[in-house]
Amino acid sequence: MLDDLRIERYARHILLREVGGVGQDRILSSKVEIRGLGEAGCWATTYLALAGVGRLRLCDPRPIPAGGLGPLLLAAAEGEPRDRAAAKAIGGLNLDVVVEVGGGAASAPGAWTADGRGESVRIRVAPSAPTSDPSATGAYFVATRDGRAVGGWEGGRVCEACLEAALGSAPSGPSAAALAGSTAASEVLAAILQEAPRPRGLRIHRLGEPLPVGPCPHGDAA
Amino acid sequence: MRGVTEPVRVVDIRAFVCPMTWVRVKLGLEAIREGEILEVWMRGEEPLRNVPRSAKGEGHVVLLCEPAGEDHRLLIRKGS
Repeated sequence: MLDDLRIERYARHILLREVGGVGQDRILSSKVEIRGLGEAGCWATTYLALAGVGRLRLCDPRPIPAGGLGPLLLAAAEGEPRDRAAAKAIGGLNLDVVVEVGGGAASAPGAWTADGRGESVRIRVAPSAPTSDPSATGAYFVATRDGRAVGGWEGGRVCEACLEAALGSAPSGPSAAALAGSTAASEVLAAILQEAPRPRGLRIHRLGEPLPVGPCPHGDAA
Repeated sequence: MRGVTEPVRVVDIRAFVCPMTWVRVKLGLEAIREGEILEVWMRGEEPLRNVPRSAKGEGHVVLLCEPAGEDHRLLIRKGS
C-alpha cells in the first residue's frame, strides 16, 4: 500500500517511532466515523484526514453557521450541510481518504444541549477484524460549551451530571475546542496504531494534558 | 547461513536526500526480521553522518560501514 507517492507523502509519519511504515499502513486501512461537526469535530476530522485515515464517515447534516467552523468549513459555504461540505474540503487535503456522508448510528449528532450552546463529537474506530469485544468499538467523546471542552473514551452512556461538573471546572479559552479536537484525533490515532482498549472516562483537556475526572458518583456510567 | 551473516535485503538510497534517506532505510528494516541484515548503499556526507546514527538510535547494530568508490556500503543488523 505504501507506494513511492505515499512514502513521500507520509515520510514525516514514517519517521516517528510510534508510526513507521507498518503504522502508516494501518492508518491507511482504518475506518473512522465522526458524528458531530462543531469546531472540535472539524479539527479532529482535519487531523485524521491529514494523517491518512483511509475511510472517514461524517455525520452532521446541520447547516454551516455564518463565519464557518474551524479549519474545514469555510464561511463561503454558509448554509451547506456540514458533512457534505467537509467531504468536499477533505478532497483538497488528502486524496487517499475516501469520505462517506450520513448514516451510521441513529442518534442525532452535534448538539447535546437544548439551548444549542453545547456541541458534541463522537469518533468511533471500526475494528480491523470482526470481534465480540465491546471495547473494540468504543467511541471517543468530546463535549464543548462556552469555550470549555472535555473529552474521553466512552465506556457507556455519558453521565450528564459528570459532564456538567467536568465542563464547569474546565479552563475556558478561545482554543479549547481546537485543543479538544486535536487531542481527540491523537487518541483515535493511538487506538488505531495500538489496537488496544483505551482508558475510559471523561477528561478535562488543559493545554494538551488530560486531567482525569474521578469515578462517577451519580450511579451512572461515565 | 543466509540472514545471519549475509544481507537478506538491499536498499539503495543514493538517489535520495534527507529525510527520505532514513525513511527508505527504516522501511527496509521493517521488512526484515530481528537479527537479519540489511545492506544499504548511500552517497554523500548527509547519509553517511545520519543513517548509521539513526539506526543505532533505534536499537539496530551497525556491522560495517565501508567506502565503495564514491559511495558507502552499510550493513545493519536489525535489533528488537
